[in-house]
Amino acid sequence: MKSLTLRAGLALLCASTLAACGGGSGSLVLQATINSLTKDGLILTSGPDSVTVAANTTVVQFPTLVGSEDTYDIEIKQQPTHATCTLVNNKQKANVYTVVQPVVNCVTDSYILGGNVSGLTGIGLVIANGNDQVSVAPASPSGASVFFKFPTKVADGAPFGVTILAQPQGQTCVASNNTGTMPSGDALGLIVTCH
Amino acid sequence: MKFTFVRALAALALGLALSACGGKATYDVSGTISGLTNDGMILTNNGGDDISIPAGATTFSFPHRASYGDNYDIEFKTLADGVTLAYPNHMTCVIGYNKGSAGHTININAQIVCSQATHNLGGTVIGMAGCPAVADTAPYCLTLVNGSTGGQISIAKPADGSNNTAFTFSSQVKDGDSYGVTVLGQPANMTCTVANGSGVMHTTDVGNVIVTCVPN
Repeated sequence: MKSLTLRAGLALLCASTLAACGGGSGSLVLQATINSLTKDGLILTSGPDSVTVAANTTVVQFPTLVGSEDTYDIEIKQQPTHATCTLVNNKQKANVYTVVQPVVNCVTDSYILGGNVSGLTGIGLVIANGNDQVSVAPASPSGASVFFKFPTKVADGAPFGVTILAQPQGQTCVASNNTGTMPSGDALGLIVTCH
Repeated sequence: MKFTFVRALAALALGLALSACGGKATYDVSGTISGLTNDGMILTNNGGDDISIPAGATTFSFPHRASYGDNYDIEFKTLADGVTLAYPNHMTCVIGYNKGSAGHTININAQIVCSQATHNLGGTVIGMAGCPAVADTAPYCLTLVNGSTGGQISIAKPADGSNNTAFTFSSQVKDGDSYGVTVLGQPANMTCTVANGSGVMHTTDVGNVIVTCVPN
């Protein structure tokens, strides 16, 4: 009986000693999965670590190991340029399962794609950027330049390619300056000329 | 595994109990559907008992019930050409839990999931003989793009020296979506133009996009 009490007491002592030591000498690698990061500049922190994450990275491992049952806390110190990231499962008690659960989801900023149609007198013009479409009606007075923009914004760095999906009645339109890579701002230089 | 066994046992017990009373258990031949936004789907059980399923339906049930021990086999009806399945218009579907013996599980509940059909977009590039050799400058001669979200394809000079080369975008286009192919990256010292580059995807692959490259 006495021996049992002694052993229990010893175990308790051991446990509390280990818990006290829990801070620095961990054994678990903490990592975060990065989704859709297309831009540089992201800096993540965890405890003493500060890690710069380059564009197109998919996994980040933090250099300092964490101890089992320690609470880890991953935060964003700096957002990427022209993108915004959010954290999921970034603050949890560490164990072999939870140290691989943090996720960073990034969304690249997107901007307006548009331009001007000149010489348009007929109805029915439809301009496409792949599966995104915009219908353009003649201006008043007929033939004056008409501004158009696509309903869906385009992500910074994504390609665009604009074509005439449907010609207006009695006219033929041609798109020029119509393909390229989206800048970090609106691209409103598309030119559609109708005759 | 254990659960399936218990369910089978319960069904068996039910079957036995009913047959002891002089009747035989029958089962509704039914299931659930998700993503069905168009008309046109026809289902068969054991090749018959056709039912047409309207757009928006989330469940189905055949007119004839199955008796305990009958085999059931729920499939998309094969149309008169012997090949085409009666999917909803502009959609493709998959079916699961659709075959078995009535009574093996407590109820028959096939599952159908439908989504918009997609088709290939491609064509031919003419004038590849004028491209720089792969080993020279860039590994690719030209890059084509289908809008901002339809994917892009980089095309290298054919190793066999042929002047024409076929291409297909790796991203398929949904039935009913528009597409528009443009030249995102022109070859060195050449200019490529696109014909038949824009349209709306319908029920078959599009392979008639023509890209013609000529020296500057």
